[in-house]
Amino acid sequence: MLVIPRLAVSGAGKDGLIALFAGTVGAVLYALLLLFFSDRLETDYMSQCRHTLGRPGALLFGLCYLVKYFFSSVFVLTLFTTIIHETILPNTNLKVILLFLFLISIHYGSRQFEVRARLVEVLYFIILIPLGLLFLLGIFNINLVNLFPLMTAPPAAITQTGYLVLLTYSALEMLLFAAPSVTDRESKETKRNKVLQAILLCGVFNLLIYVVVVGLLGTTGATQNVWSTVCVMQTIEIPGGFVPRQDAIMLALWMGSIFTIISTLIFYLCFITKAITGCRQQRYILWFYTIALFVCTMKPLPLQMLYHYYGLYLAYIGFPLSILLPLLLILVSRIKTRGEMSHEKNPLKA
Amino acid sequence: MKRTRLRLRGRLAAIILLFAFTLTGCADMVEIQERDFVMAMGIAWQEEYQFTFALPDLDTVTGQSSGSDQDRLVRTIHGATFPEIEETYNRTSKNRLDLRHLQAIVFDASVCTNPAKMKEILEAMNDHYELSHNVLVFYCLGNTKDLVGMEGNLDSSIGDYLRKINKNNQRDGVDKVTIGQLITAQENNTTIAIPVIDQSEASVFLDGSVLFQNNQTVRYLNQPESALYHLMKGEGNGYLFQLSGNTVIKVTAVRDKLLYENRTDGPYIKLTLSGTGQVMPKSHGDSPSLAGEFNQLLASQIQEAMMPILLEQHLDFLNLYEKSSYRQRDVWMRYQGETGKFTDELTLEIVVDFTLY
Amino acid sequence: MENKTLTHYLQQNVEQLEVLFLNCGGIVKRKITVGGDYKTDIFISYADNMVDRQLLQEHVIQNLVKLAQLPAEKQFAYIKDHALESADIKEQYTFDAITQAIMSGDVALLIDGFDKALIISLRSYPNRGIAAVETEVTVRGAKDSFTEVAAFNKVLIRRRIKDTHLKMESLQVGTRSRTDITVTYMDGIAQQPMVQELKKRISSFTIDGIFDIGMLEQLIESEWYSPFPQFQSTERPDKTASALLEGRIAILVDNSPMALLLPATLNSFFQASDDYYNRRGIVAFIRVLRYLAAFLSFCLPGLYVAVTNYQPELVPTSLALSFAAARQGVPFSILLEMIIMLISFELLTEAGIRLPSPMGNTIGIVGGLIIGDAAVNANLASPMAVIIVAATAIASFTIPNETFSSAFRLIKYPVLLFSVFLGLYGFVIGVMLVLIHLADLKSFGIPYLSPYVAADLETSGSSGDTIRKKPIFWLIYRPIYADPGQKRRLSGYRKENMK
Repeated sequence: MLVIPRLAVSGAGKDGLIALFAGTVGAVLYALLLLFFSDRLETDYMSQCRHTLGRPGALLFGLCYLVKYFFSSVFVLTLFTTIIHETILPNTNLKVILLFLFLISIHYGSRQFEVRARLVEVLYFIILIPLGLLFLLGIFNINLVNLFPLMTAPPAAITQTGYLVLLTYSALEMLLFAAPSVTDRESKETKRNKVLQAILLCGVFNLLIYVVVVGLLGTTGATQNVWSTVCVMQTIEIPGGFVPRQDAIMLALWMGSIFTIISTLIFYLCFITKAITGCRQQRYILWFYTIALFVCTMKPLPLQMLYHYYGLYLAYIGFPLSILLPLLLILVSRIKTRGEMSHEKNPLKA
Repeated sequence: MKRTRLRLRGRLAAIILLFAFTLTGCADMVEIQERDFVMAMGIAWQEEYQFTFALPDLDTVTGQSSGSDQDRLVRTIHGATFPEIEETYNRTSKNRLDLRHLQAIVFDASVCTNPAKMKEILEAMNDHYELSHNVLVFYCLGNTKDLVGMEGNLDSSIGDYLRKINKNNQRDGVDKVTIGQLITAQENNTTIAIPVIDQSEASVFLDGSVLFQNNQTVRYLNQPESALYHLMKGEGNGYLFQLSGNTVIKVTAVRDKLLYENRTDGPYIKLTLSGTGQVMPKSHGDSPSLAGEFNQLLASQIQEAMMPILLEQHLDFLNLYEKSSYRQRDVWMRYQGETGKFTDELTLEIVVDFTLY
Repeated sequence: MENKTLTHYLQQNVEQLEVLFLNCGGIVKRKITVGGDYKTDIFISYADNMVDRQLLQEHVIQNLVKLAQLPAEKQFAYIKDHALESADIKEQYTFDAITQAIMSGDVALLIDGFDKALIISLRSYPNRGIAAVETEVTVRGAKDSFTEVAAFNKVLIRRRIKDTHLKMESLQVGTRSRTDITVTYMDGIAQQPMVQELKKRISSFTIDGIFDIGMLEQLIESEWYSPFPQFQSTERPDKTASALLEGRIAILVDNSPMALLLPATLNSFFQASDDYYNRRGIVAFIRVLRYLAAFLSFCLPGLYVAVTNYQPELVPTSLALSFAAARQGVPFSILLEMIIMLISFELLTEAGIRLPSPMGNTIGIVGGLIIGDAAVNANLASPMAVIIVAATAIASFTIPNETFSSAFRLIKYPVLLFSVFLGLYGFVIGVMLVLIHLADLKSFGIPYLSPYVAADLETSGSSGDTIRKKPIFWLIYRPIYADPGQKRRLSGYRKENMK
């Protein structure tokens, strides 16, 4: 949500609203597709890879995801370190900020799935507070001039921006890995409804944030300010005026989500590595990634450059693979199943 | 958890924390008493920037005896850029310059009539995270150094004084003007009215507003013109108009209604101002012709004072073109990138229809 | 101790007992000869001041002495049936059991010619009676509290739950102390796997002696390194009874005036007894206050330091200037100032606990007025630091459970440390570490943050007893602790029927 308004506006100008809407619709379809894939898996995703494609195939598949999540981790770590450095701790060494961000995320990511889910349940409401405040306090000051007119940008630009917005939902891919952890009593329909609810809620929040940010700053302001959302947080005032500036508090509340995002990526890195290597001791894998990520982020690229390359990677490689890989797996699995003798039992179902 | 693993984890955490804490150097930690909280900042330009900082008198503000140096409540620093000025300040002060509690920024003509410098300073302020975007902005008719230098002569800090005087005179519906709004107006090329302050021997007072567009101030509006400006925007209340026979009308509420038409010879806009007004003294309220008289008066004042700004100076002070973006899309598309042509071809009809009670 | 059995020869048995009780003062031994034609020797032994002497005299010794005739055979049964007027008589065969009984306050009766002894329960411990609650004081509700005598504590619970499903299983812990432990639960409501797990944990260690429930708690909890208690201790019988009806298990330890309730979640530590006796509106308000107090008790010092040193824009301008003016001339850094004030307060608290009550008031005056005021006047501390420390202390005292509030007393120091070094970022890191730890914590399989998390474990809807407590007639379901088949606790209630 920090980058969504700038992303939408810089690509499609005032039609960023339409691009956002299109991106959200795309995310819904993407989620439905992923749920469709996960329903066709006989077991969890990586086990299915190993069974269907053999160890080399699973390794290749796993590597694709590992590269993606590793790159995402580096990007996210750099992004959030930069935000914190530029806002709350301008004179503190980036490496120190990174170190603590990293340590806490590793500590968080090393927990089991259930523990992380519990913490997200608690943080969910805490993180909603700044969003709610931002919307409630900012909505009355927006200037409609900044939001209209619509349908002025070329359709190609709107579509491209919509696709970029869709890329921000790329975390949905984790549904493939997480689906087996959802308990059996959840019917497919309930699962689907819940996922759709989550995406729609996310989409609504993105839309509201966009309206407030662009409505207050205008398209130029939203584009030129790297942290336009943080900028807007500075301008809004809580009636009663006890806290003169809300941005630091809002950022503090949002930091919970920062740790959650990074720890989730680290968790899945370990999870996939464990699956493809067969290593049972998660802590060795964790140590490996701790060192690897720390080394990679210690000398970060400038954020703008990293943003650009990450965007390109995600747009042309990451996202397409997220659809092609499971599709390929299911197709191969189906072909293999049909090729087998009808009386032969599927060892996974034994 | 097994004892050995826990012990190892504990030791590792302790080592990392010790290492990390020693690394931090607490670079950002500055104790609160070692910060100079600037309350007001005056900006001028004379071959280089002249920043005048007003620091609070802690004894007066808090009622506590803190031993603050009365002579150092106002500081003027010169420099080529804003970061240079900050650096100079910190080099010459035992306390760190802190703009987090800045209440007001005052510009004067020297910088406001210099578009390049105005743009530069606004961009620098936009990039400065410490400076909040909700700091009030004022325009000073005289010299910012003299105005901000009144720190210590008022019963509170000049920044606090400006904030309160602005709040005291804030009318219903009229937004206070902040540095964030100024930056937004500059980025989006819209017009904004900055409140004007002036000083006499021992006081500071509000005196109209100045229109800011294209990185410079373009037109000063005195008090009556400022009132008309706000009324045309459909905001504010409490404005007083004198009719014949010592009757005074106090505007209690105003609404604006804009009707756009995309005519072949140019855009047509009908601005209908309606609202309510209170007749003072009440005994004069019985006359049925008062409403008509007031409406006529208001319309004529607008015609004489404000219309030339729009039509002759081509200053779209009401942001009519921008408003067409959501009111009449065709007009916006037609004059996209040609706002000068918009004002040239514009036909603006003003209808005033107040109800008095 | 050897588990030797008695012999038929009284003299041998007596000699063995003499050896076992060598140099054990306070053990009374007496040998009497009873019967007419078929005389037999009887040896009585008990621990002085642990038996009811009057009952012993009137209902045992007198009856024995007055026995005119004993039959030739089956004298043991005859004596048991005719001479002993007590309903609680057991037969024991080993010296271990006999000595255990004597040390527990029973009377042992050995009869010549028989290889078993009669154990008569005539216990009468010195005790301070049922006192009023001291640590969990309430305005409404019962005022009685548990005592050191486990038997009395059981009675206090039984008076409140007159149900045969209330089970009290006795165990013994401590090879030397042989402390009686009672595991109490509602059969059918408590989860049986949890009861079994508890018993397994209790029997999984061997220790010399247990003297308080706190020792047992440390031995059976899984996450011992956590500052947060995974069991809830209480001195209130009504709270214990209420917990049992919710499906929790209570442990009573002899010589300990508290009960241990498990499992315990974060929410349970914010519940006080009179929440259920008072009106809903005020209870809802006070619950919110407690959660706020918990937050303040560990966050306030860290937040103060983070705000004043790193993010002063978070406070209004006049307050920031006031802070700045107040800190002028204070020779210590803000971290040192806070640490000094916090440690001073901890010292005062500890001193206040240890001091005899007549002197206890002095501490309040010395601490509050003299030290606080003098420190500010001497510019050793700023007034704000004193206020922050005082507010933190008051907030921590608002939490109903003392053990739980002790956790906050501890964790505020790391949060303070993080805040000093990294400002608001460090503060958030500190809070996140606490949250991660709490999310990871479990009490007998129940997530510690329940019912705020793991909502799917609440199989039949929320119990409604959290921050926002529902009125008692809407608390239809038991909380997460209860057996899934016994979730409903209230039915058939219609408010309309009350009109």
